Amino acid sequence: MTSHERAYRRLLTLYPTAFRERYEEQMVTLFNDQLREARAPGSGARIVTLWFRSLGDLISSAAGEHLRKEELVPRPVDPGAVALIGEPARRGFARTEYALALLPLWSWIILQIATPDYMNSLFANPPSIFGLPAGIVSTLVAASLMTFGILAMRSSGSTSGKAAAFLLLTIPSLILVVLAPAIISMIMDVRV
Amino acid sequence: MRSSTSQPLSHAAIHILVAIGVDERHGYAVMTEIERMTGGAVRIGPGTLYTTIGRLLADGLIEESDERPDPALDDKRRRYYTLTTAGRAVAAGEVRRLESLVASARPWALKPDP
Repeated sequence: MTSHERAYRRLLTLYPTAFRERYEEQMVTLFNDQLREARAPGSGARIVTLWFRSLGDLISSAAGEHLRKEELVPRPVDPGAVALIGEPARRGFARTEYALALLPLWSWIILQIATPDYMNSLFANPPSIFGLPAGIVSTLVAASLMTFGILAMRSSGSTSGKAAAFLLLTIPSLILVVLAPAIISMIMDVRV
Repeated sequence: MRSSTSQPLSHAAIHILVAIGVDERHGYAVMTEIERMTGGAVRIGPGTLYTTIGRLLADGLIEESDERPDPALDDKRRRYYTLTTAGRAVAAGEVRRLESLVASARPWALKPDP
């Protein structure tokens, strides 16, 4: 297996599990075909171009596949009629799971309503991280963790996978939302 | 199965149906055929190709073929696709629709600028 194929296989984890199980090998075979073509003599920059194209294609199509509410799994029906028919195979992402995955957002909204001043330390003269206001950095990190948590929970076919995504992504996002203002206030107090 | 109330086919889906045509083609062959047909103007990546193939299979417009042109030489991971009867009808309908569109536009769109 080449390093290109290994990297491509890793990226395919962005797709929902059911889709990956069905199409991963075909997609890798196709990517290898493209790679072979790009490596033809006199095609210096083609591998870079192929990667750029593949990344764009992968991100957009993976997002679209996640947004589909139902996964369609073909199965044979009576011969002579249309050969395959779609049957919704519901891999549920139940309302409670959405509610849990969006916990950091709910907390942020509740904190804004209940204690409007609590978030002030995030944006009013906060310390900077990598030259950016700490509030913006912590908000971006929390939002990214929450989004990845939703995607990971959606794409996971098992309860244990969903639980792992919740613990590793949603909970840290929640902690960041709830504790970042307090931590930043503490830093500001120490500075003063 | 695709019904009359189904949404219109996407550009990628139309290109895939036409590229498969009367043959049995695997993903890479479909992709290169689309590039050839459009003179390289349309390029479909593996992600778009297989998400669209998934929908066409679910709609009953294409099916996996059991036949392999040369099993000894071919990669076993490849899957070959053919149009179903419904797929041919939908592809023909799309071609007729596009022909009518081109015919409507031809009198003015292809006229040289004054």
